[in-house]
Amino acid sequence: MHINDGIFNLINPATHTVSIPDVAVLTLTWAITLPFLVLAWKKTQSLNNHSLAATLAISSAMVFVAQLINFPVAGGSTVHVLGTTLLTMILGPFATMLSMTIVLLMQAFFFADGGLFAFGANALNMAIIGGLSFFLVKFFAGKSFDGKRLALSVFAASWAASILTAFATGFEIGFSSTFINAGGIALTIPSMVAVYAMEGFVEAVVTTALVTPLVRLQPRLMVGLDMLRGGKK
Amino acid sequence: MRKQIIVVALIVVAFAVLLPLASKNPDGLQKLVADSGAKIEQAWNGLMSGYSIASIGDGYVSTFLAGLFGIVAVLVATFLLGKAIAPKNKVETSKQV
Repeated sequence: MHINDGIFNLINPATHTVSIPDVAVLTLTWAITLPFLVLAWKKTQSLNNHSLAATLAISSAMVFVAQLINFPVAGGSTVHVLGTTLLTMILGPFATMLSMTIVLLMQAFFFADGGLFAFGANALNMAIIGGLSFFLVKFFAGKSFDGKRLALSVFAASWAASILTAFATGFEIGFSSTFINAGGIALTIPSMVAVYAMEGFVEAVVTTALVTPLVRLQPRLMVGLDMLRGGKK
Repeated sequence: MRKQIIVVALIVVAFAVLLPLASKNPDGLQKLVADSGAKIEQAWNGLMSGYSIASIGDGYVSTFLAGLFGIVAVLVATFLLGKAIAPKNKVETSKQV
């Protein structure tokens, strides 16, 4: 799911000229991502009356590990869970955006998993869209927070978040110099969505299986759950 | 603090156990790129490209150590972020986990 820099090229390797579509997508994704991160910082600061440091660190490390474990899906490729909807239930949507951004930054800087120029796109696809999946849970749950309705809402939101992330990734890379003349978005969106619809199912099962007992056993930990229930606006 | 250390230890153990089960085949996006025939050249190849330490090879130990480094890096970076973002003049507690 991580877009590497070679997919987007500032200089088109075929024509040796500035690749306008690549530059446009990279610029736009940075331009969308940065204001969200500023908002996330301010919201996290204003919504929490205690330090999130320990919870933020441990849940981020958990997601980092989860993203290291690729499993095969039909079609010969592999996927890993994203973990963002799980994070939103623990940290809330805004701290999730910051947490995932740090995870993505570590992956890009130390392991070249995701590009530095494409960082804005990766942060948009996984951190921002992932963080916003909190509002999908809220939408599906409505005003009912009983265990079954909440579990179904988390399941649906996790699945949808994976598909939306794949859609956004497919849309962006469809305009890259790598794909624009090799099928474009007509190839990249269906390909990405097909693979990550399968991943999304696994993501939904794993997220629901973790959130359900956490809600029962450690509700005090769940900033996102508290926000869902109206404890924090 | 003791609880947090136990949870981190459990994360490392889970990583050690699950790592051999992880597939090394390309992920959905990498396969799409490979199928297109494009050759990707990264401007930055990271310090431990492909989650392995070059001097050790790309076996289990190499990937485990690289992953362990990543876990520590994420823990430190997000903990510092959490401290930096902590609300001023409000009650500070570390009894979250």
